[in-house]
Amino acid sequence: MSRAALVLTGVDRFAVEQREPAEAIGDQVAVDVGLVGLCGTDLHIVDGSHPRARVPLVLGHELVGHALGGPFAGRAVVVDPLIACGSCSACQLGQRHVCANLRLIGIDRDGGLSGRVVVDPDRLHPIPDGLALTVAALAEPLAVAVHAVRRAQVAAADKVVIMGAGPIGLLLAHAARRAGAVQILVGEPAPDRRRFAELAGFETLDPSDPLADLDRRTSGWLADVVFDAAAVPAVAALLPRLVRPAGRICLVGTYGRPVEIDLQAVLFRELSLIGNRVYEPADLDNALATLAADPPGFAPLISAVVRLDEAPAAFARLRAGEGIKYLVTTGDS
Amino acid sequence: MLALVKTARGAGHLALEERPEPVPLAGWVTIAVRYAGICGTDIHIVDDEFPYWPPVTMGHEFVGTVTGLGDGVDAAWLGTRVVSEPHSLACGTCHLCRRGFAELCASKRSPGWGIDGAFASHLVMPTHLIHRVPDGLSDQAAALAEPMAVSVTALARAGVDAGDIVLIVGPGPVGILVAAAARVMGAATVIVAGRHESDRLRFAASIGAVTAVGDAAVELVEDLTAGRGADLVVDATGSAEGIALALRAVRRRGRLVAVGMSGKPEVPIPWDLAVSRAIDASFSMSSNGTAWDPALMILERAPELAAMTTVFPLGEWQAALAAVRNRTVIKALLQPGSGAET
Repeated sequence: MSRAALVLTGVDRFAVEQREPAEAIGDQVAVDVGLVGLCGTDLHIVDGSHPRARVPLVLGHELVGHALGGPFAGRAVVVDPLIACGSCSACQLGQRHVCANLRLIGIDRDGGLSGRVVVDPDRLHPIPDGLALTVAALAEPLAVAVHAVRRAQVAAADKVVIMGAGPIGLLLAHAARRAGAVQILVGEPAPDRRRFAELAGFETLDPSDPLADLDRRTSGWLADVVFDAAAVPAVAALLPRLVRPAGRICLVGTYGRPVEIDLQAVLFRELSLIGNRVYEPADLDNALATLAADPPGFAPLISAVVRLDEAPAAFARLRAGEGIKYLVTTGDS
Repeated sequence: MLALVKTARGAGHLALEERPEPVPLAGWVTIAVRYAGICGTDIHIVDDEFPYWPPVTMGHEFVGTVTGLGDGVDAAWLGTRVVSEPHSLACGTCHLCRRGFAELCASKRSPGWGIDGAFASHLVMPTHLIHRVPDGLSDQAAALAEPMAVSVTALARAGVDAGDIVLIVGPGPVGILVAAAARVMGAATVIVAGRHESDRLRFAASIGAVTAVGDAAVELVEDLTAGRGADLVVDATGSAEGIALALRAVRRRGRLVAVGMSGKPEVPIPWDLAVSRAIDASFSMSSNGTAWDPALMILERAPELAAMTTVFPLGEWQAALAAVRNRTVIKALLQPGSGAET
């Protein structure tokens, strides 16, 4: 039986098409997709600015649904959308998440907005019993945050600055709080997003002079760790000055082009500069466990659950900076 | 002033005695004790099972107010409510001190066994070891700072990852504080196991831990992890039984931290189980200086922990020690200022 798929056919052009659901071959497992989260990367693809994605394409790499076979048959699962080549140096060293030829479902091949994906069984992570599918749909972006927080070694009583209060910035703030950070200060120019961060209990920095405000609010200590979830040149220039000597700078947002950063400050103040691409399988498990431990804490991040045909409008709202996370229901789920 | 003094070597030799109020050296402060906790180590000292230099006033866990300043100390400390790292007389120049591990310095002489301690109205401590108590923290919660710092130090050895399933074996004061700290440090689920039902296990449950008795803890961990096992196990017993339970519950490539002393020269452990599960094992002793700010922060986040304390006037020290030995309280605090001592 064919199913409705939302197909990106050009720059900001969508069409709903009826497609035959993909069938599993060999050990592969078909997943009946229930919800798809929309993300900033999707926006780049819709805008035609993503370096790899090519239309026509079915978007959707933040996926939850039900496994139709394999080791988790019948269970609610999160799909790890990463596809590694298996033969590059990173893959040979077990670091498949930074595969030199990394591809993603929903970016390099058709994704979840068709209602059905077919993946290798190791791409599936069972959702803990009792965790609502809507909250579980945050697992993929939260895994990005959990991965970065782990790599930055956020510890109890750390003072953490997060530049950028978009979805990833907010999830970083939540993950840092879960890791025991005592003070979390969010730098964000947009008043609506600042207010949203404040409602979640985070401090916000004065956008006119975040450095001076941080200095004052931490009594001169500055940040133990700064996360860059803004990825704009003005923030890059600020990063080495926001952290204390021997502090950590953790890059999470994606820069479209090279930017200036004061490497002399990195050297002289002995800072750690930590890159983050995506997440490892353990981060998805830990993200799910984190969500299961506090669903009400994360539910406010979900701005709306919309139908497949409403997804183009949700992309427009996301582009306008309205809301945090839109989830799209697919198929009959 | 009255002080509870270990007067001589050998088991016992404990007496409430009149002692001169201490005078702070340059760089030290006098602290008026509000509460001082009784720790398992204190029992070992009374029983002559832990090194000490008699005659010495006991007590190394305390909260108090700065009432006197030695030469060169910032006057702003006067009247400040403080807790203190117990790492007095660490040399500062040995291999361990130079690496930031003053707590393990061979020259360290802590209050309560090396120098006069907190089971008295006053004691003196070096300024570099004291920490201001946050305003919102109650005296009884602040009195838990030292064992909380011990707990944070232990957890920091293994690290707590977001979403970890953590099993703590032993519902004593440190086990309970490790449970509270693990939650703040990101654990998704914290399980506390005891040998039998007890007020201590019930208290652990009241602060959000899942509790289990004996072997049921292993089954509970299996249920919660789909058979995988706990990511991190903490032994706060030092017993063969407790360590074996921890090793049966830990997952392959999981982590074990031992924070409990056994009081025995040797403890049998299921070695092949530990090797075949390829676990990372750490052993933790005392508290690192870096653990104190996190410890105070965690106590602020979990004010309900104050309810694990039971206060005894200093004069009722015999009843307090008996309550600790018999485990009829979770954490006994002595209060030197209360009238019953006179």
